[in-house]
Amino acid sequence: MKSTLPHDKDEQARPDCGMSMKRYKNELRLDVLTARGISEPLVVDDPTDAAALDKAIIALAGKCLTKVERIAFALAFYCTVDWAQIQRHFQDKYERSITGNTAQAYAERARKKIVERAGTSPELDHWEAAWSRRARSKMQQSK
Amino acid sequence: MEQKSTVQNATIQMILDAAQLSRQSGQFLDAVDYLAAALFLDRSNYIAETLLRQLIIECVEARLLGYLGYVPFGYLPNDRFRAIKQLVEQDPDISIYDRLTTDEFALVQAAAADHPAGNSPFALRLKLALQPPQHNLEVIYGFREILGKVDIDNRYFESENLDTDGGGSTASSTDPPTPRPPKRKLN
Repeated sequence: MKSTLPHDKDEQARPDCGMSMKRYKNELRLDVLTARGISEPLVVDDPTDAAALDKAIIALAGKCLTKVERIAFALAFYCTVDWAQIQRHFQDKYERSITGNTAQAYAERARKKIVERAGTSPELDHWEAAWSRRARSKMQQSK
Repeated sequence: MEQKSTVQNATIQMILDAAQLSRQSGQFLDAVDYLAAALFLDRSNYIAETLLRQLIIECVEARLLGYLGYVPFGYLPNDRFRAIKQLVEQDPDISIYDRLTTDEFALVQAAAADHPAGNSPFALRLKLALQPPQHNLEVIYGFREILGKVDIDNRYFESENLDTDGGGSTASSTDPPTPRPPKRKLN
């Protein structure tokens, strides 16, 4: 089950933000969770858990991606510009020769790399440990 | 001013960290690309602007002690070189060129104009370096473009080159991509 959209302040404040960027971010989160063996999509519905997960993903991205992948990932994950704008940015500023959806392809490549490494990432280990603690604490409080 | 989420701040920080790493390893072009991305997301990002300013200064300084050390800065006495370098380190917000005396500045400009590669991107780079960094992406892109167009030997951007003595001594210890022009006399 795909979760509802996340709770970042900027995304709420920008209704015109491209839906596909939010989808990219959300699918990446869920793929990472799946790679970690976490079948709990509600993680991304909790603002605190989602933000912590995002930060762990960003930290992993900072380590495992090439320059173009890292930039495409960051521009997409930031969620305030759409694919066309990202493509234009790449075309105008980095690689005039790129065509079509190259920037999106870079972001997709980034997504795959992040998911591939998610299972063994220390950044995500750290996030998962903290998340488990929070989840246990919530359960105890609700009893 | 629009408030950013902690995740957005973390995203920009990841890009800035990459820029800083690239800068430290002498990959100035990559650093500029990262900074362009950061400023694309946040046009008024102070850290990105500051890093860019430092980067431009370092590029100028690298040339000051390396490639550009032949022309025009090779005409400055070594002790002036060292003094300027020290001042730049103390206060990177002030342009290297602002530290030159009027005579030195005229000498540097004349030497640049006289250089065999005077009409090449070499001169463009010098002009760019003379401009204070603008809060404007175009400057970054211009800077990147100029850097990208020129076949720059990376060794001139290696950090050890920045730690050498003044232009004269650096010039004699490196292998220049362009021939050294005839010496000009100081006024």
